[in-house]
Amino acid sequence: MAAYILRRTVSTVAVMVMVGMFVFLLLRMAPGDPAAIIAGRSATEEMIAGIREQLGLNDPMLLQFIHWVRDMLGGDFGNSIFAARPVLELISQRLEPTLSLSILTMILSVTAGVSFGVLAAWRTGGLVDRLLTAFSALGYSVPVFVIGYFLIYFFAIRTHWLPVQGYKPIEGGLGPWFTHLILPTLALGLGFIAFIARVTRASMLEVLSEDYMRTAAAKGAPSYAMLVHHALKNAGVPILTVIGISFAYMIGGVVLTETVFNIPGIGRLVVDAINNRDYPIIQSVLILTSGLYVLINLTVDLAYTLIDPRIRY
Amino acid sequence: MARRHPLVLIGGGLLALLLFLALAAPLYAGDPGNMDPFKRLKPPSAEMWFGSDNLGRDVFARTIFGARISLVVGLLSAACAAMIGLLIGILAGYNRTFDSIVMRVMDGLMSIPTILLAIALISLTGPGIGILIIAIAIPETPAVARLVRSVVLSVRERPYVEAALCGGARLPKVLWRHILPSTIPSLMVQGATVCASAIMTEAGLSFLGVGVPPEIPSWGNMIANSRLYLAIAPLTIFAPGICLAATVLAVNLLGDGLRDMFDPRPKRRR
Amino acid sequence: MRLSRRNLFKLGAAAGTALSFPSIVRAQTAPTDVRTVRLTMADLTVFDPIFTTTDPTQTHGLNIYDTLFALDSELKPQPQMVGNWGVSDDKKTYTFELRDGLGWHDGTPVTAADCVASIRRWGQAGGQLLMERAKDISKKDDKTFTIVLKEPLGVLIDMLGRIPAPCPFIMREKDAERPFAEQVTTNIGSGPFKFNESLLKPGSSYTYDRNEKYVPRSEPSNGLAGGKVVKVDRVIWQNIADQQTSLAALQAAEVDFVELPPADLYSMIESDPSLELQVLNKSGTDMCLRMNCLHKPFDNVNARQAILHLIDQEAFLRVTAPDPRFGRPVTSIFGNSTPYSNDENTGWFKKGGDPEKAKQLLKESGYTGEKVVILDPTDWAEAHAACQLLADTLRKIDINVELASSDWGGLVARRGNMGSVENGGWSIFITNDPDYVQGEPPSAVFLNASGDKAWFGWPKNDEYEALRGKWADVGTLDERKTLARKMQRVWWDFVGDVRLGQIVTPVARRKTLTGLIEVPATLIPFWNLQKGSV
Repeated sequence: MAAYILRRTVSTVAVMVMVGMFVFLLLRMAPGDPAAIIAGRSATEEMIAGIREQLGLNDPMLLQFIHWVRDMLGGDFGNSIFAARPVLELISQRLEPTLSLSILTMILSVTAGVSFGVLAAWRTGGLVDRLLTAFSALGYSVPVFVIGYFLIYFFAIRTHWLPVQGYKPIEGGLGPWFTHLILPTLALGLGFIAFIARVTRASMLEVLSEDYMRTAAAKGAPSYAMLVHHALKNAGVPILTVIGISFAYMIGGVVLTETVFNIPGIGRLVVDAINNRDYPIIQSVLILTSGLYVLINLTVDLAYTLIDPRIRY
Repeated sequence: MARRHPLVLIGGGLLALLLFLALAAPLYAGDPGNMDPFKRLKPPSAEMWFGSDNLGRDVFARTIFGARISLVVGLLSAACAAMIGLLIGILAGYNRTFDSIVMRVMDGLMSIPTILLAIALISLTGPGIGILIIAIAIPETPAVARLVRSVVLSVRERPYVEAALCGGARLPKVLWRHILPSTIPSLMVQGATVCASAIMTEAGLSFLGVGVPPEIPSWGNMIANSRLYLAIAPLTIFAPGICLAATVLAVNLLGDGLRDMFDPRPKRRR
Repeated sequence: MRLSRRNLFKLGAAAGTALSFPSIVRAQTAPTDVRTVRLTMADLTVFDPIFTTTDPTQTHGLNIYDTLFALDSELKPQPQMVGNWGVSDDKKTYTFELRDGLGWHDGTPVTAADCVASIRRWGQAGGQLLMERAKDISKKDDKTFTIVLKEPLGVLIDMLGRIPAPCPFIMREKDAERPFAEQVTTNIGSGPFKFNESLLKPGSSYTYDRNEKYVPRSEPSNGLAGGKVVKVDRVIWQNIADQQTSLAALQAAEVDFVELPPADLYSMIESDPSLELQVLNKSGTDMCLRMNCLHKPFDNVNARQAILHLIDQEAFLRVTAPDPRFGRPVTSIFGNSTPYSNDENTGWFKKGGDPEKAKQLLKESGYTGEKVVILDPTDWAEAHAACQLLADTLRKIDINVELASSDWGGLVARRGNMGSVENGGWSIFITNDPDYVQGEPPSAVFLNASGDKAWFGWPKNDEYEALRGKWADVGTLDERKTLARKMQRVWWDFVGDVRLGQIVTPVARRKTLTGLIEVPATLIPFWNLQKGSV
């Protein structure tokens, strides 16, 4: 097992390297000129050319790549073309909001989703089950901004219970931090609740019709114990997987939610960087998130062995 | 059969209806491209049943014509991602070497934003709907692969699999007969999410010029375009939105129904 | 009952919500801070206003830096940093003496050396005319410097106070001693506001503190000139990317000002009794259709004339400026609000456009179905709508149109390609420029017809250029007006580009925020702002 963890950790580095090279190439292949964008709409050709030269964008691609790798190995992830500030500084500023939103949404989605899914599976064809099917259709297809605008309208403008937008760091007090995250969590969580609930339901249905469930019932186990101890544990592997996938997706970029609620997170950082062709930011963030994804998936894989001892690597 | 598998009928039927409405669009829907700037954002009327959008185009016509792009892109990308993800997931769940190499590639792929990947892919090969479907399916595949792999990991240790192998069954047969059916439920659930997500992704791509041109309507780009008008012309969002929800519902029902149909175990009685 | 993990989570969430109720209640009853103004504007990505021409950066520069001269409400340059100044009899030597009390945010005084270095740097970026005509710019002593010209330059003072980007902000010598393409990132100026580096959140919020050491001029505030008196302690510039959310924040008093409310939502703003629309920039911007004059079909003047006759400005205004109060057709190349705006040779303007005449002209140009590529920026809503309408309009007269959609980044990459459409070039793109700028032919990008040296589109007409070359030397306003009429007559004959209308964008503010200064550009001065209590 230890060898397995070691192997996976080593491969994390390999993945990050591959992603770095791939993204570097990808960006240079995509059309767009950071110099023209940064110079502004009515800039003249000379101004744009001057900036391009200054940024080193006229150098041959291989040279640019070598400079970049050399800097990265020294721990210098480069400066944002636009903000002229170190990329790592920008990323670290955006980490707390994204993590806060992701963790709160995960708590909500897992709690509500798993509960919903278990109930729907237990009483297949019942009210909860039908509600879940309808709810999931809405949950996947209602755009986040629609939910967001409605929530803002009802909870912040009509009544003044919650703030409209913005993010307050934890150091400014737990209360403001939480109230600013309530609406975004609800808006973001809807889709994930639906997804986790449906996968839970599907997985539970597989397990509930197994023989050992009938045995447990015959032995007089209470419903609660049956559901949680016997069924949920056995159904747990796919549920854990989607929890992992959801968390990774949330950290990587929940751009719409961050945009609607004006949360300065990683998602918006990357999308703004893509629009601006701010190569250093895009490259660095993607390398870091790829490493993060490998670690999240490793954690989930290890978690499988906890709930299902039959799984071995 | 209808009485025993109502879900398949409802889901499949809804899907078929949507497809039919989309195909028959030119016969009844009107002109989705005709602009009249002086009639922009008007409420429903006799000529334009769902009103007009911000360029004065007929929202009803655009919704129906939009179905053609969105249904094709959504369903085919979901199918692509599902098939490729299924293949990778099963192989990864069963073979350690394949797992350690390919799943790491999947991890890396997950971190690359769809937009970037699609732009690069399409600037290599040139635009076209086939490339678009592949460009949308690829970033969705890692998640499918992971889910399938996790199901395979847990199922392959089950006694009946061991029994089958002991009984002399060859691996492919075991995979097909015993492992594959267990992956179907989760796969179908994820298929529905991928379908919805593919439709919205297509919109994002068309804004970057790498998808279907934005003048051609699709549910995704109608929804994205009309973001500002939620308060003043809600139908511009709700018309395509409800169609999208109907499609997702249909895929969900169909998936549930198919699973019920192929499940050899007796229905649990309560 | 054993506490399952699930229940524990639920309890925790409930407890968290309960614990935060007191702070929710507190938030609603806390008095709004009248010494802090919160503005929502486009994102400030770059800090150096000489390096880039984008409006947010110019606003940033306007508030932390100061200029030698500034334009008053009648757009006449008034001394700002300059105390006394004079010009020699031969009009070739200007001497400027700085007024007292000017100091940098880091405590050091402003000297003539700083001014000289700043002018030189600005000269590379936007003051090329000055640099061409200048023989020498140097300091005489710590507070005086001179500009010696090769020949007289009537508009020198106007140039030193100009508004169109890049504005000649004065920076410290050590910041200005670098090529214009190398960014200045220190944000140390001598203006009425200090930039608060510690509260900087790039992409999200930018904070400006009152500079208590700033000595405003004694004259009353007049346009951008006069005394810059700061009446609040802090201005926070927030970037709220979602337009609907920024308006919601305005309604909930989380921000006091939204710079660019979407036109379709004006009715929502006006129906709210605590909000108001106000036009600060009465000149607005002109939208312009640039054609590629180097290749078919628009290398032929008849084809360009066809477009001129085809465009129905009212239709385009409907989709770019839906509220008719804020959009007007513009038929003069000098805009609607400059002193040189005139109606020479504008007979082509017809309400509803003239598709028949356009078709005929197109035929005369020998158009045989060549592909016309329109560069369409999907992330700029107004231009995107205009491009789609344009494609539809062109198709209706049987032009073979291809709409090349991309984001703005993709557009600027392709825009520089001077090749033909088959070689990755383009035929048409739509852009805009402040209306006010169209009063400065030497520098306005739309008014340059020097072919390869002109702005994207590369129109070429020697007769026009000869007239334009005289502009800087012509002495009086009336002489310039006559010259302007001549220039416009030639322009609408050869059709360097086509205008799509003048759009004015009001800002939305809470009624408690007052003191906003009207400027004919997208610049927001922070001084003079005052906030009443709710």
